[in-house]
Amino acid sequence: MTTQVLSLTRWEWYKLRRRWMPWILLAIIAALPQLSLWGSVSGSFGSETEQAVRGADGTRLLFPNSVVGGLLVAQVYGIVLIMILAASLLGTDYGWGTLRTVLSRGTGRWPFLASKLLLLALLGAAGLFVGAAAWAVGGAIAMVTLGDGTWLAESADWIEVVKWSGKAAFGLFPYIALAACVAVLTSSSGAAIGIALSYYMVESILVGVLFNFDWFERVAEFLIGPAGYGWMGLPGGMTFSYPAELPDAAQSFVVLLGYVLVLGGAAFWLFQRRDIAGARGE
Amino acid sequence: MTDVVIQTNALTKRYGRVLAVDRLSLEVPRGHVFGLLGPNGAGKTTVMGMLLGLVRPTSGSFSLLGTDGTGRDALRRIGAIVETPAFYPYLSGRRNLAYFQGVMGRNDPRELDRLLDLVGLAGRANDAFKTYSLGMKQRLGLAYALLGDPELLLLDEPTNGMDPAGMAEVRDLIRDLGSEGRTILLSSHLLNEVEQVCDSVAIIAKGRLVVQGDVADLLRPQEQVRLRTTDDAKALTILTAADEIEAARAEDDALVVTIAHERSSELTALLSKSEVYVTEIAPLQVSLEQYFLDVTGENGERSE
Repeated sequence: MTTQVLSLTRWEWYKLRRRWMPWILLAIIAALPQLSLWGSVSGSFGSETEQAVRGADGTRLLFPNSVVGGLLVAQVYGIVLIMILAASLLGTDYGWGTLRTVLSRGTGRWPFLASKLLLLALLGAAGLFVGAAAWAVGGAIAMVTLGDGTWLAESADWIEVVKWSGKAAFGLFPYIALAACVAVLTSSSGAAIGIALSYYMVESILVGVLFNFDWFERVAEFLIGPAGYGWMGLPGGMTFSYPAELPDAAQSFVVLLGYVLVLGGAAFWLFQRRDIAGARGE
Repeated sequence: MTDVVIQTNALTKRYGRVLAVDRLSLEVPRGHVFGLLGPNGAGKTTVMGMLLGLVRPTSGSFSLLGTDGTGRDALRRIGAIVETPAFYPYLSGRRNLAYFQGVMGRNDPRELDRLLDLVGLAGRANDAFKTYSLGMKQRLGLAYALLGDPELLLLDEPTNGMDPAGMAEVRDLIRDLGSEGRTILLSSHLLNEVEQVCDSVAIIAKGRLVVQGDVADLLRPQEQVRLRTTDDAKALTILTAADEIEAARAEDDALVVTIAHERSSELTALLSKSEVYVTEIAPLQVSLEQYFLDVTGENGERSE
């Protein structure tokens, strides 16, 4: 089974890499953190957000420790991009009718869906790496051109880089599961992108409202967004609607894992049970 | 080795209130080119979908190549195209085939060359699928179905959208594939296609099996005679009761009797014994289309 999933993942990448979409999304994930970086470097200093990202003393722009800041920023943008990619990767197979073509030759539904999710997880991690690398390069350039010329940290903290890479990648998984579940439910990439992004936006507004009430504050901690920020340990102020105190990392991990299991399980269950219709002309 | 490669037992599919397939029981013998003939909406594609594991039957069961139809092992020995072949529009024909070959766990570029050549797409193999005409898409679908040299082919309207020359080529190809001992289930609404290509046929209408048998027996033009007599009502009673008469019915101001033209004299002799005399008799040739319309109920109720 594992061999089949890995083989299918390889062939998913064979066709996906020939589409424009993943490369455009990759360009965006490389470019957006750059905008944040140069915006914060050239703009106003001192905000909590900026201090969180680059550190109060600016040393977080020194390589390789700057990679951690890059991961944090890339993950914020990566959430939206990975949902678009997940919805497209799954939904287009319904829209083009290719799901019938694949499954009618004995490819198991479970391994097929698993291969897509595995590829999305890998691409999510790769996207974070590209975003963080671009940030690190930008940080080094900023330190050389605008700072004192020092771009290399005196003591490299590679363990922190590895730890934050894992945390940032795991933080994408609930959103991959959400987009995948909606794509299978709606059998449409367009609908899945719309619903997943709508949820993301509505949730961020809802959280801002819920955190204003004592009891509902606890409820908000069990939504994906606050749990994600809790897991990443980001202080409040990263987005306009989040308060300073967020749930602790352990609780957030459990909440995020629950979303991955429930949404992912629902996607597998639906995918396994439903009839596969012909092309919808998407 | 089993002699029956596809067997369905009371296979049923219901979509809400619509009964797409109704207790269909079929047997497709090994080595036959078997036609699944029926008008649009008869349930042919739904049957194909159930056999391929794409559509979950509401009730009933089926076996494929001697295995339980719910397993996927048999599907690896089956090639299929269902409805208009669907491929990735941005990939070339060759890359589409390479992808599906890879998904099946194989990697054999020479097979791709051979199949693309076989279906006449070698010259356009590197063009994007989205630039193909419907006929070219059907050809690529056939190449896809033949990946891995399957022992059973399920082809759903394989000549749909093709020009007459393309249709003739594909029918020749299907005949050749069948002559190699491969079993083929071909669904079509085209009578002449089934007649030209198939050994056996099942006619379905509104999800139900209407009739199943050899093409030569079922689809041969039926010979009929039209006659008037001195007492048509009495003649109809006599002819309906006679064993040697296949069918008889009143139509307009005459009787239509199914009987070989050379046996017309037996008919007149039979009636004259009961003092009913033929005043007018003329041969009738029932077209395939008429027969098909009769048995599928598309032209009113069955007359036999």
